[in-house]
Amino acid sequence: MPKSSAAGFITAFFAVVTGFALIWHIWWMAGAGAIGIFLTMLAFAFRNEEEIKIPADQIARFEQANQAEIAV
Amino acid sequence: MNIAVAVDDEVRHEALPSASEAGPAAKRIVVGFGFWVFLLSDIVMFAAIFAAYAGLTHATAGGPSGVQLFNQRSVAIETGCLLASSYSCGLMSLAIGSRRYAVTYLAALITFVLGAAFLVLEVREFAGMIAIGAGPQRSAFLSAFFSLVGCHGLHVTAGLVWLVVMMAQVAIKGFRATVERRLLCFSLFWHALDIVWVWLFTVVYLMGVVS
Repeated sequence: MPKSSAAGFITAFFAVVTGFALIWHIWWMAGAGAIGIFLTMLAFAFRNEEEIKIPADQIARFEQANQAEIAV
Repeated sequence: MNIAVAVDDEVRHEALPSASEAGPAAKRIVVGFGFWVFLLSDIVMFAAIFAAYAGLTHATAGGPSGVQLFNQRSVAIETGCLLASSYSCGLMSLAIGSRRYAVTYLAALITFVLGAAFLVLEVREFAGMIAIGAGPQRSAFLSAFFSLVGCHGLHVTAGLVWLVVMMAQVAIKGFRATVERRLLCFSLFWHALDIVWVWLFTVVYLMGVVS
């Protein structure tokens, strides 16, 4: 499974900053937002752990517990 | 590009399970497919801008037309730079395939320098046109011209930044699977930009001077 990451949320935050700044011609803020997006993507690209493994028996236990609930 | 179609000759065909039993495809295949979908969406965008440009070629509003503005020599040098950078990008793919760090860095450097030379020439061309009053606000033809060529130039700029980041990743992380997949995507991106430039060169600069 792909590991959870906040990169999408942070990129969206900077994208809002950039979009707002472009609409109102605040060029320094647009630049700051673009740099923020780039740095977030850079940090994401250099992450070391990309994936997590969910063991099969954990899934089996989860499945059994849920099926038991449905049966009751 | 050649690493995208590496076929394992050792695998005997009768030993392969059917498609439904084989499980998910290799990650390199999935990543390559996803990147092709992105590239095709990019090409759809370029196609739209091309259509707008083709429709507005003669809408010069009394301003200068392509024949008066385009400098064939500068464009020829730009084209040469970009085509040669695609060749060195191919060499870089080969160097990555054989795990040679020094050759990879060298080929990446040549690709970067040629790409940067292309950009410098393009920016000088733009600056020269704006200086003589032929900026994007002069006519619909020039608006379409700056959108189309500028959009391609932005892609090249992004590609150069990406190349620098990838070389940093090769230096820090080495040739691990994730880095190799990204380098494969970069190579696809760079060749796609080259293909767009060939269309652009034909439609804008060659046909623009003929008509």
